[in-house]
Amino acid sequence: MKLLTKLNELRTAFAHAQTLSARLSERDKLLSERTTELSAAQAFLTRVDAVSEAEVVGMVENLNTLISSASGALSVTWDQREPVPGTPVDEGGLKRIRDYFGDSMFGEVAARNPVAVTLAVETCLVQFVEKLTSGWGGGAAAGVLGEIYRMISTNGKVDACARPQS
Amino acid sequence: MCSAAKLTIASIESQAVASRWRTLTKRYTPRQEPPQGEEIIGTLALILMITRTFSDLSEAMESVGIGAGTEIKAIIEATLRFDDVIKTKIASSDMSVYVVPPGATFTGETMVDEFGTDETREGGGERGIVAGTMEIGLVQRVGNVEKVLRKPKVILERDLLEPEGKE
Repeated sequence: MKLLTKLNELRTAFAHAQTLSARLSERDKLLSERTTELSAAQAFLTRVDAVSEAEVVGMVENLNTLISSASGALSVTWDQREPVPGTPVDEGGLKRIRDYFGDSMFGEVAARNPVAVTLAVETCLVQFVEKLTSGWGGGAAAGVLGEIYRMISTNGKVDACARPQS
Repeated sequence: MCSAAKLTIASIESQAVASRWRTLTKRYTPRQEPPQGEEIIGTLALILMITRTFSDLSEAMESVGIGAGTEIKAIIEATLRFDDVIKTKIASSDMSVYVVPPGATFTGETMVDEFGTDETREGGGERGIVAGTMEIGLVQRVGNVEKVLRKPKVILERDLLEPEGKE
């Protein structure tokens, strides 16, 4: 009778061990799958920024110093010269400058307002920097690539309607 | 090439991946030709022409080149370095130059008035119209959230009309 009881206990224990073994096998399989997925995703994970936020701000400060320096150098050029009466400027050039600043500031520059002329020079340089950094490095693909990135970073994905019509 | 790029990245949704795409495309899209400075020198020369400092554009351009050529070259070089950093060395966010266009309405939250704030100037600094940006700002963006890391410095139109009242 005791032997029969022991035998039953052993059977129960064996069945339990088989269940545990099956569970362990499932967990091993799941772990293996997740490890593989993580490994694949590793290529897309963000690395730490190679340049700190403070360093980028510092680069902007340096650019501003250079712009101010260029403006100062040019102020010597125009401030120490008497205006030449009847100076001709072609219409295309005038429009270009008006587009930069608008009519109000254009008038002040023409009147040799020192604050306006200095600001005009600095604004030109500032917009030049903006233009150089707003694209994707030039070339035919640059504008398209920039637009694609803008859509990705804003919407999370490329808008279907932005795809070229075939 | 661009169509293939679109198809490949259409399913990408995170900042991390967008940054990786930005870095790679920037890195492998060569600049068509480096800027030589003629464009900006020409624009600056036009300003000097409008001030009637010169009677001939080529003379004005030559004078700009002599007077500020070194500084302009330094600006171009610094800008290209900056451009490379924000596009290939920053992955956790997007950074871009922040410049206020002439005619925009001034707001102290995102820009700095060269002649002071509400507290330090008569008439206040709000609700003015921006004449131009004299110092570049910097904006950081993650998804749709923007943060101004460095406010651009601007001059308001009314300060151009009354320069004698300023320091």
